[in-house]
Amino acid sequence: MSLKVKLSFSGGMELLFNNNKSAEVKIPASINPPNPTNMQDLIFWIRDNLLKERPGLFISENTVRPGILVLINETDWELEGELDYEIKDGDDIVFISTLHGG
Amino acid sequence: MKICVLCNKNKAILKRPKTSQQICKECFYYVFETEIHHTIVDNKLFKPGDRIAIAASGGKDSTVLAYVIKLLNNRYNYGLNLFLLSVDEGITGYRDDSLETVKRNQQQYDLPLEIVSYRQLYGWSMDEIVKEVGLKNNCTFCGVFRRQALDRGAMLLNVDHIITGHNADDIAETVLMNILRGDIARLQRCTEIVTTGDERIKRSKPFKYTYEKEIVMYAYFKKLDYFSTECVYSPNAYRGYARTFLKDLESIRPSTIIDIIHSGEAFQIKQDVKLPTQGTCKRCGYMSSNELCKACILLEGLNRGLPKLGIGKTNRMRKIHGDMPDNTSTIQHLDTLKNEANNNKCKDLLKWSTKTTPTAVTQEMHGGRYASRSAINVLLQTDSEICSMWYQPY
Amino acid sequence: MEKASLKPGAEKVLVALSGGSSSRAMLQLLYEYNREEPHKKSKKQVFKSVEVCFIDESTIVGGEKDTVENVLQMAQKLNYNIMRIPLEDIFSPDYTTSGIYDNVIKISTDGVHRKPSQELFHSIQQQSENTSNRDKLKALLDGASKTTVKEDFYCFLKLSLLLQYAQRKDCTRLFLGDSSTRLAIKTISLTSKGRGFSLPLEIAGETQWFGDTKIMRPMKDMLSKEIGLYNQFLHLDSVFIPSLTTMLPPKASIERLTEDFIVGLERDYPSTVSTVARTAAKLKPSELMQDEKCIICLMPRQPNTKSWQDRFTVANTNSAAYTSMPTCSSSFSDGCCNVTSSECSKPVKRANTDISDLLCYGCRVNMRDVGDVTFPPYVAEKVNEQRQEELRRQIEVFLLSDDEEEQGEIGKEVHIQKR
Repeated sequence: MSLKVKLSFSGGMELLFNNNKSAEVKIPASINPPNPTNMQDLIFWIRDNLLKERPGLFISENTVRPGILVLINETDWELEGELDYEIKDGDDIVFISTLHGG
Repeated sequence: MKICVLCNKNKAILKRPKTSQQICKECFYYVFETEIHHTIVDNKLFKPGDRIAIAASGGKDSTVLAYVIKLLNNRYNYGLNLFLLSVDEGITGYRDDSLETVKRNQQQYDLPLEIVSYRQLYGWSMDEIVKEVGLKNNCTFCGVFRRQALDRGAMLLNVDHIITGHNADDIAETVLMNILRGDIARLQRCTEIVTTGDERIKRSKPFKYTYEKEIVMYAYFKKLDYFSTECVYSPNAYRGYARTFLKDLESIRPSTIIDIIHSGEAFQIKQDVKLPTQGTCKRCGYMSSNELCKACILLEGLNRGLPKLGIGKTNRMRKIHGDMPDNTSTIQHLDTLKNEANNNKCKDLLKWSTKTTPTAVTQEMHGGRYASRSAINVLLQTDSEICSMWYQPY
Repeated sequence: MEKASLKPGAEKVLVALSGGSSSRAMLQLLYEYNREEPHKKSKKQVFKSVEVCFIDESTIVGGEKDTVENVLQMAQKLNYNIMRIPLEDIFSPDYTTSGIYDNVIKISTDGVHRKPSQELFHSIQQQSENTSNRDKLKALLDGASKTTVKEDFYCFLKLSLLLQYAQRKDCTRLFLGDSSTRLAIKTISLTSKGRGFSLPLEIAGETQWFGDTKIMRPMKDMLSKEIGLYNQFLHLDSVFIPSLTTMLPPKASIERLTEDFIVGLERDYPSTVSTVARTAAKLKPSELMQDEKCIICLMPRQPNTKSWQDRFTVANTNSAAYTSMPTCSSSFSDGCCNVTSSECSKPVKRANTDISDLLCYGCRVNMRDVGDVTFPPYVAEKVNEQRQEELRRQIEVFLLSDDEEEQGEIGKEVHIQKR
């Protein structure tokens, strides 16, 4: 079984992904069986499957680097349990870097 | 689902770093905008009729700044005349793209735009400077030149006040940087919301207490059009350390950013610590604590093929290579620029005064809203027809 | 190395000895400095006597079994009196100014947000029968949900104990072993915790903030590396005292992260520590600093910090906030909603007071991460002192205004009486 997820990268994040601003991906419903796939799994999955360069600018200490905003279905992931959030089919997940010039 | 703690109705979409509150989109817009309004009112940043230039880079902060200031100007009737002011450093693949964003913003927000370029002011674009000096000190050149460029652009626009998009994170980072670098004069100044030198243009930071996270969220939810690419010439590594540290601190305790600003505001410097005194550069008239301002020295170095001039080795280089030859091109003197700006003002005023009533002209003269008093005096001396019209009501 | 500025006299001094390398070196230096050498006339004893105090944290942080014994021996070898005070003794009424104060301060939180809805403190008689001081200390630390806050509490309690002990022993100077490396870390971490106001005092080589007890930091110009070498050459043993963040990742607390940051920077840019220390030394205590101490950290309170934050923090959307001037006034700067009224109307036996105005900015920030806790007697005593001081000031204002209004004999009389 797999989940369809829409991923978007902006605020400069897209540069780490070949300038792709968004991607529709299919990910396993359980990357670490028997647990359902959560944000933690998804972040590693993105690093292993999508990230084109400099993983240190995306991941730090097993979570996204501080300064990167994550929205899950248009909601701040801090309200959704962050790494523990369980991915659902059709989720819309956005990564925005806040670190680029103002 | 989490419910907004402010309206108790809608779904919360954001956790505020400042207060840890969970709030919905509408309440977020409200508190975000209102806090900026409070900052403006509390610090008396503006008065009705002010001509304000928004320093616009096309990045997130200045884009949100232009949007919010325009919105607040309408909502609370500040009575401001707003302009966008951009600096074109001449960096291919970076600034040319971001200026396109600024030009779109100009259309979207319907604000006049002025672009001043390094090429036009100094005779060198950043691309050319990098070719000359390499990638080591290029950021010094860029930083020094930008500050002057903004002030000069503001004079051309005839504005008395530039607002910049520096946010709370930027200010907190600067506080830390200044401690780490031992720059005590800047440590004292960097938390001030308004900085100004004698007759020079006022600068302020309406986002002083606004978190970067919220600015990005606001831009995202409002779907504001901004440009987000790192400058192609490598960014400052030391600053990078401070930024990473700050972001790590924020993840431990989100209020740290405001807490650092609070600390910075409380700092007081011992009296016996020497702070540089401000004078003016004898070559270009810009404010400077030395005889020559940094920009003039750097430019001289470029023009004479001595790029190390002004980067720590000024005195030695001077001894070896002597003083600047007379035919070297320099930055236009500020007085010349001011005269030019004044002439433009006068021409505008002349055009405008023929279309309006004498009373309005008198008001202008006393309110000084449209042009400065000196410009009016020039006008009165040169144009007898307008002169008689102005004094009619008396 | 002996350039630390000490003035000769007949004073008694107290040395805070943790047993770590810096305080070990300090003890040795002080010994050398203060030693009388009969054959040299110029070398006279500077201090009348030297007391040593060791705050024993082992009940909380653990550590090697022989740590305590080793630390005690360090002082005994030099023929100094050493007193071991377990950190939990802070809950004993002995460590208050009066020596008998036995009220404690209890904070209630509203259960929903795990946050003090308002700093409602109950000053109550301590119940000493059931719980040991050790458990009380543990409960206090457990009440803080963040390690940053626990570390702060730790620090305040230690300082408070040392000050009380110094006073009891009539010591006029308290020697702390902060090295320049430690002070550079403190400069950044205190700044990050919003403690910039008191920073100049907390890193000063000498400060009179605590009145009769001057705090001295004679090691302030020495890098931890230099201290390590000194100890190596003189074969001085030091002990390793684990901290709350030992073995934890850098992001465990602000202090820990800052330590990592500064030590890392110093490695890449070797002048970092000295630059930071020099910058910090150029800061002076603000003229706004009065005798108003924060009841928890004992550091000066900056006036008006509450309104400072309210001005740019809109915490509600009621219509009042729509006016041009900010009027939102939630009593707690990050109060999610105004639950204060319900809290206030609850019948409480003891007098409740909102003591948030007796806290400094940094401690108010801390309180956001504090649940139901009971603060030791020294805090309760400070509350009492401050309240009386306030009352005295109010009466004074009242009397003065009386004076102005009546301008008569009575006013003058009152004035004279006061003197």
